[in-house]
Amino acid sequence: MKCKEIQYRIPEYLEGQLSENQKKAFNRHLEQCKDCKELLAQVSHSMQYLGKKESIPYQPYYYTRLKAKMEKRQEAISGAPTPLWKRVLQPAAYTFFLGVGIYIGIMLGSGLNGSQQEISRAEEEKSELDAYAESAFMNEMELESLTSTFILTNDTSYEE
Amino acid sequence: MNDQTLVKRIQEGDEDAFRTLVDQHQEMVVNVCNSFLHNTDDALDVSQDVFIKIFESIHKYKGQAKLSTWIYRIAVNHSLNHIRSKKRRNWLNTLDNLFNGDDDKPVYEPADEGSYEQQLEAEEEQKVMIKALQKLPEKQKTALTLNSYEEMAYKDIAEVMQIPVNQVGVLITRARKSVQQYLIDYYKNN
Repeated sequence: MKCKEIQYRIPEYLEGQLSENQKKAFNRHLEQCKDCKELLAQVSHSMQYLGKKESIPYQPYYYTRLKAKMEKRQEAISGAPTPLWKRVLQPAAYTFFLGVGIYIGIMLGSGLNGSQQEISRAEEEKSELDAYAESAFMNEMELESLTSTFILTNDTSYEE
Repeated sequence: MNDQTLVKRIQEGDEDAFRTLVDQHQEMVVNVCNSFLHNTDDALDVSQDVFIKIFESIHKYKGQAKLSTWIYRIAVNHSLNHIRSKKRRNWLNTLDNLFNGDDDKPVYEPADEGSYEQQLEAEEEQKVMIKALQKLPEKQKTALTLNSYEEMAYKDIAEVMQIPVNQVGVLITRARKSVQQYLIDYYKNN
């Protein structure tokens, strides 16, 4: 038998399910193989823990705790009845506040549209102003060029 | 007071009779739950649910089985249900253990005074055994637990599980071999 087969057969060996020939072959292998022998010893030792547990002793206040749990459970199942005014007013209040919220939302949304219109109007005005400023600047340039020509002419005559 | 009289009185709403039943079977129910759950707090908690179930369904008890067998059955079912729901919550527990450490210690503590290392080894082996048991299919787990931890005879296990006696033997042998196979794999890889 090889190690792999031995390891496969360990449960059968421990449960006494191997035939005489298989048992002999199993034991022969264990005499030669230290690893398989150790593995068998470990498994066999661990099996001793099957069924070992610490017994829980009698609990003196067990019934009191059980009774409390039963009452709590009963309360949770039946529950205190909700008064009629609460059953009617609570959904009404929720609906009202929801409606107010939606209305405020709509108002804010329309307000935003109005301000967008204002922004576009302002942008239009700005572009008109820019166009005016540009034309004014061009005129200034023209004036400036005339002036500079005049000065330049004067300067030339002075030098001469 | 015999079982039939006790049951009849509980069915009639006698609270003292229910208290007597709880006192008589408390230790048995708590320890059966502990055999499956391997945790004292869980066992105490689930055992209370078992008694609540008994109280709620006592009118269904017709006396075909022994009262203790009927109670055993409820305790086993509740413990298995608890394991199932715990498995479902397992991914949450994994996260919890990752941050807070594993507090799910086994209840067994070695009785003899050994060295600290020996105690650690024993705890480790106990933990591995619990893991091996948790891997078993429910029927195998029930049969093996009742046999190994509750030391119940095959005949009684058969009554609790409502299966033929010969099937109990098959389940226990299969379960033991599966546990041994788990241990082989564990020790090979560790």
